[in-house]
Amino acid sequence: MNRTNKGMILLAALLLAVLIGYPVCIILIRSFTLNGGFTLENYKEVFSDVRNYEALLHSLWVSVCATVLSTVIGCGAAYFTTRTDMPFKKSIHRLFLFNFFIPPFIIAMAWQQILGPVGVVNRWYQEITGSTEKLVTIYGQNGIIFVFTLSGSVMVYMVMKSNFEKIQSSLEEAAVITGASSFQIFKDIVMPVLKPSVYSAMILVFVSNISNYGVPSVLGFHVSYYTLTTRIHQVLEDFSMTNNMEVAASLSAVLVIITVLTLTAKDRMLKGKEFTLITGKSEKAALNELGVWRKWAGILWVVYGIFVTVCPILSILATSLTKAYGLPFSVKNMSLKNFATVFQMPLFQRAMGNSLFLAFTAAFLAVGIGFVVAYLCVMAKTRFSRPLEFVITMPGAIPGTVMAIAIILAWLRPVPVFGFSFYNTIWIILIAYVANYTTQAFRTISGSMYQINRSLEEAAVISGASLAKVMTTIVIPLIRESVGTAWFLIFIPCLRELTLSIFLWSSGNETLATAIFTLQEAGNYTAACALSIVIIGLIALMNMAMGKIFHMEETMG
Amino acid sequence: MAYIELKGLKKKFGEKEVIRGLDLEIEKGEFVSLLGPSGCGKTTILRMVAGFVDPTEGEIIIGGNTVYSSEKNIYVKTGKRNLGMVFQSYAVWPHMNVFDNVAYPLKIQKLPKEEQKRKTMEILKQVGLEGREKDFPWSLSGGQQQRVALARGLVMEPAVLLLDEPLSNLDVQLRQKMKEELMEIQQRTKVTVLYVTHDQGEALQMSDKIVVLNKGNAEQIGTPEEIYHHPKTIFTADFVGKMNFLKNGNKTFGIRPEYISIGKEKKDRAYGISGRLERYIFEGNRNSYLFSTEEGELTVETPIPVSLLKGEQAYLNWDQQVEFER
Ligand SMILES: Nc1ncnc2c1ncn2[C@@H]1O[C@H](COP(=O)(O)OP(=O)(O)OP(=O)(O)O)[C@@H](O)[C@H]1O
Ligand SMILES: [Mg+2]
Repeated sequence: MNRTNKGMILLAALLLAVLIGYPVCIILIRSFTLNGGFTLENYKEVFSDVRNYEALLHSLWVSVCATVLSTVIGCGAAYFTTRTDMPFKKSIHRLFLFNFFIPPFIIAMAWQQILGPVGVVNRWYQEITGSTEKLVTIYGQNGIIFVFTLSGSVMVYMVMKSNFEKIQSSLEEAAVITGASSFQIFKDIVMPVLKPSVYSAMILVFVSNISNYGVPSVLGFHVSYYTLTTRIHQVLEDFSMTNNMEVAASLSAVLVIITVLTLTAKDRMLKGKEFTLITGKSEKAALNELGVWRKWAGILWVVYGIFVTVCPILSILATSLTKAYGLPFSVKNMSLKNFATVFQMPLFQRAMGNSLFLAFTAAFLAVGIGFVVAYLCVMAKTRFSRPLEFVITMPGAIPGTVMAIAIILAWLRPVPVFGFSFYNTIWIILIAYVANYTTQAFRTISGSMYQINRSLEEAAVISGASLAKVMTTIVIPLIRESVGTAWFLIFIPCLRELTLSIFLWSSGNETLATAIFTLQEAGNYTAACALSIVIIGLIALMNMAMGKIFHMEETMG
Repeated sequence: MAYIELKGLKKKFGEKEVIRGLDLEIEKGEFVSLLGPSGCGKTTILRMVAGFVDPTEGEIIIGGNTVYSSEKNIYVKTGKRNLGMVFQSYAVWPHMNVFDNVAYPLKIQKLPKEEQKRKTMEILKQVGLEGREKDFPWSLSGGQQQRVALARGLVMEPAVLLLDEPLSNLDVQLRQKMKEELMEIQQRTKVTVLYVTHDQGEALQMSDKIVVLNKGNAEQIGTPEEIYHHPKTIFTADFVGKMNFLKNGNKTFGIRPEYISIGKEKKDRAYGISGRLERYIFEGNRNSYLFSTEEGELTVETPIPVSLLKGEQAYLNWDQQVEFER
């Protein structure tokens, strides 16, 4: 190990310890502390307060239901678009892809305006039947499952589509030779071979559901339907409790246990089953002919794609264009004044400035740290590589809500020596973003470093190049694209980040997402929707920029 | 009538003509190789026989049944052609153990359970995989996976076993071993084999008949001996084995390096020419000498080294040569 590496290891270890290790330890310690002593009281309280374990059950129930439903739908969509002669495949794919540009809490808001108590559907129903009853309600359990299912199905579709495409066609041809029918081949070969990837996709969706804060808060608060994430928020703000911080920490620990267990179960399940699906040079498998159903299948999935992506956007757009919320949607009630109002709001200007600054800076810092750690773990392997990798990937298993609590607990008190508290400043949000997204940067960059053949680097070393020279002339040029991609993949989600920000924002330090949230909680739906349109446009633009720069066909925001 | 017949087979991908009218007859129990350079259409021919690719024109008959005819508009589905196939990538199903992989064709044909078991065990024994039936593919070596694929192809006792470069993913030693095993199994099961390869060694060693392909045309069809000793075209002569070409007027003569003997003076042989030694290469089991003559360069290969220095003159004699019109 040379001196440069030693210095880098020390720096990386210090950064990761402060950024990730410290908050995570603090949250654990606080969950076992009360009045300065070790105790299990906080956990007792978690499981004795009906509201807490109800939230736990709610979380599990909506996440499981939505996961199952979205898996069925997503696998179906992936199957039809890759394996059949259905028409409109491109359009369907575009519709699904665009769904990624809309943050889930905005989708929830959109459906609230379609299916909510004064939403379009209920108003029409009441107008037509003259009744005062409501036809549907989006609030509570079913609404949350509904929105989770829509977003989850898109995630499953994306994962499974690429897996369907990767199956080596000779695996199927070997079955065709035996005289197996296409149904038998699907049942005996395709499905079993894909089973591990289906499990992976399910776990991805489940963890994303149970960690989600935006959707249950938009659709749950009004009817007091809490999930773990929203309950944690509620507890944290419940100042009537003396140990609200500690109980929030314990609830967070419970949530983390669930995500960690699920992710570990996945690794266990997939061990040794990672079938190589890489295509040889043999051509693609023949498409299943749907016959008379061909067109109908195409229409069905186009309609679903519209349902998933176009409906929410139209709903938001419609609200953002109406003069006053609740007015029927017609040309005479339309205006751009909401946008004008929003642009003039000091809140908007602050939030826009803050979000851009935070996303920009956080992406740079996270990529920097991710790059150094990836270099130490992949290229300059030392005995410190594994612990470093363990710490930097930890946030991958920690829901945003928990990360936020951890950051608060860690940085609430003034920093020793400096005597300055980050709490209630923009810096605590920045710290949280960086802590949360370095995992992502590390994954992207280390992934591409694994692809670099060691000999490329060694060839440079042999010719007498210094470490700095090797880095600047060999390593960085080779992974430049992935560093750029990593930056965008952090910049874009930070721009719309809600879960961390909602816990950490303070007056003057709003972000775009929290601004939307405040507006909508204050009942200013038209402004909230106008701002949402701005965010969606911004995200779409950034995705396009990323695609242009890196010549990528499709990207996920 | 032959057991398998390909008549006037043509295939176009778009405007590109990949197979340009192939006629081929295969007798029952014969081992026939399709040999040719990359991109000449070997795989395409095999896949047409399998029914994965539809010919643009022509007729395919397997075991007396027409399975494809463009004229009579006949198309028999792949699964009904009674074929076995071994893929280059093995295509052993990763989620099934060895037994289930091999028994799958029997299961699809709805044979009784007992029968399935008996036949599967028997074929596993044939390919040397007894005792491995509970193992999953990821725990098998490349050669063993290849054997699973072979057993699966053979278990239905197909009319034809189709193999597409089955040995190209194996290392050199294993390849030699599998070559011998494959021949042995073929002789035991008496299965008819259509074998695709770009490796002339494989084709020469294993086949009863070789089809040399070039750009979608059959250059020559014949036994390995015919192909080697009596190539009809320069392409065949050059592609199969090493061949010296000497030009004389508008004629070209082909002489295999091992036909030639090196002497100090002209011997009483059918042909001879004098040459100067330009290069000597030791190749272990043989010695290779490059001579320049007035009709062109000649490579000579002998198992026993001759004492000759670079630049020295010698006389080269041989009895056998092939004449090509050009
Ligand atoms: N589905 C297809 N569409 C268009 N062209 C094709 C298709 N399949 C094969 N070809 C073309 O047909 C020609 C013959 O291909 P084929 O795969 O039969 O060659 P091959 O002799 O098996 O070569 P190799 O030794 O590389 O496997 C090639 O030029 C190839 O590009
Ligand atoms: Mg081929």
